Amino acid sequence: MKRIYWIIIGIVTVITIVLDVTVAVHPAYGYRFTAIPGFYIVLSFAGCIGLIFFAKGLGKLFIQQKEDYYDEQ
Amino acid sequence: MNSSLIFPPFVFMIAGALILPFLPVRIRSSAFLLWPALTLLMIFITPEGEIINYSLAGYTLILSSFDPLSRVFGAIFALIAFIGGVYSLNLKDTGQQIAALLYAGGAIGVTFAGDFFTLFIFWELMAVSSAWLIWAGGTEESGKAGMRYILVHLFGGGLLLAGILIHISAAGDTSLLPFTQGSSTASWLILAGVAINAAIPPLHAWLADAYPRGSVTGSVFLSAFTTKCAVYVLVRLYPGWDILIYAGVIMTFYGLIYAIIANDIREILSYHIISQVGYMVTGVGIGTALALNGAVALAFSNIIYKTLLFMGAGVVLYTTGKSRMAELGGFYRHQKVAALLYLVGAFAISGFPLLNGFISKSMIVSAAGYAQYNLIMLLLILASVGTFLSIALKLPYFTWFGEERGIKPEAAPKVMLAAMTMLAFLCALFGVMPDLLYRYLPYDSSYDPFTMAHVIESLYVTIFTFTAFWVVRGKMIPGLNISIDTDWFYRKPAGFMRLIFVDYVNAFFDRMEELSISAVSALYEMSRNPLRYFVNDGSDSKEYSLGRYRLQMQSIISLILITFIIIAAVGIASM
Repeated sequence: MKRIYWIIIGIVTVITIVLDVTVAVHPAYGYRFTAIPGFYIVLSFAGCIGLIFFAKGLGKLFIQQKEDYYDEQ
Repeated sequence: MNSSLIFPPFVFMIAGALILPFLPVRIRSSAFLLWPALTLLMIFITPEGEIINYSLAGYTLILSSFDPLSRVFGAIFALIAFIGGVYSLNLKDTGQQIAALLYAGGAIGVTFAGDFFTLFIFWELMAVSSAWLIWAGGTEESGKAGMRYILVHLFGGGLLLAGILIHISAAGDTSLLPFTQGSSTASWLILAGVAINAAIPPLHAWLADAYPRGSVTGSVFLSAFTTKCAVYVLVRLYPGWDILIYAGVIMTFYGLIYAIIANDIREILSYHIISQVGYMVTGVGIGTALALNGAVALAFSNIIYKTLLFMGAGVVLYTTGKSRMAELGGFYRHQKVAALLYLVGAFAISGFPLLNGFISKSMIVSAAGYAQYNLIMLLLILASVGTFLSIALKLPYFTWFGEERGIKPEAAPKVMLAAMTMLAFLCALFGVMPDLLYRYLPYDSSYDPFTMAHVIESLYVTIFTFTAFWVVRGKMIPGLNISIDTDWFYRKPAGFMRLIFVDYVNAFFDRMEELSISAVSALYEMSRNPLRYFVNDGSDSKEYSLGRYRLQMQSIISLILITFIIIAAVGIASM
């Protein structure tokens, strides 16, 4: 991917973090875990990688089979 | 308003299906558009509370009942039938056009049905007409998948009918009122029948089995109607049933996991339907006004962007003849418009600001928070990470970008792009002006999606999911695999079952036939001359001679005489 895209993403990230720290009022429900600093960053990054490895692991375990799996009778 | 002008909305679709084959072939696909348009008009001009009855065999069938919940679903079904018609303008297959009209008519019939019998009739109409759209895929695979599809749905219809009959004999009432939680056998039977159509695991396998194998245009209709119609019935009959909260959350992840590993693009989208319907089912389970409104708003929005995504996948299949990502990639330059329109839908489904997923999905997440379902809320947010990953990153990356494979797609038909443009416009329209949708929502709640916290949340999810994907994208390269699912239980043992129920039974009857034939011939031989078996004089002569049986007759007559004497003696002695 071109460097310019990464720069744009970086700028948006910085703006988001600044707004998060200064302006955003988090909804007053639940355990307020959404107000923990960096909550969404960790959830998105770790959650994404976790989901990929979990799904791929299950796929290797038994879900994914050869395409002729149902034909070989 | 003069009520003689009011028809049940489904009438136009059914009439269209009957009239279409008599029109000149040239104008059939354009004439298709007339019927959903009329339906939509009828839904808009009919005042709320209008009820259309029809008496049949002592029951009053409520063919149409115009309440707010029915109108929202009816309107989006008619709208999507129209735009699906635009997408299929180049289609020259009257069978598919009729099936699509009947299918849409069935969905609209279900949404406006005012009693259980009417609902059931249209439910079955949907099952049969939609199977046609799968068979229209034209491959051997789609033939078999369509057959499995119709069997599963007929089974579901059976459960539904059984539940309805028990309910009516117990309650004596055919009207569609919410069931009390866990109240009766009937409510569980009906729930099971509806759960099949809502694709709640483990009753979901028909969806990912059949939808990827329908025709290019057929799958577009399929993705919109059946599951969302089931969501409508859940909202109508099962609000606040706790079990649906958990079923829904399981659905969101079940669909996601398969979407993450699937290879066929339409299979990814199909599995992701299960994930999205999971949000709606959770909303129904939470059962507060905000949650129910969220389920309705998400169903409405989901139909728009999911259809857009299926159209994008359809364009890929139509122009390249391929739908497996392992064989696609690197032709973005040749298909920019379709890819960008797809991405609008993909960002919408991921809840990106100013698109319609942002204003609908978050209602359910917030409702979970307000109702103190903290873990559920956390899981739903995590699921939206997976949505962005599978629909907006993995699928477009490996389809249009990624490895260059020298694919030169044909030009995408203009009508297909036009239909996609309409839907992309609707994604943005409702995303920018959510009140256009909110004001028609059936329950009384207020919700403001445009808070700073919400916008920031969605930016975080977008940026950091993308970053994570970019880091590990090498792990996601699709291979030529299929995923096994709960349909394994009726597909893999098929050979074994055939052995037990067909081959063994046949062999049994064959053997029985042989045995009975030989028994008959043996009996025939025996009965030609039974005396032969008692008189064994060594000769097998058939000639009659006077003295031949004399000895035997004498002994038998003596035996009878002796018996009489004994009986007489005993009788005299006992007097």
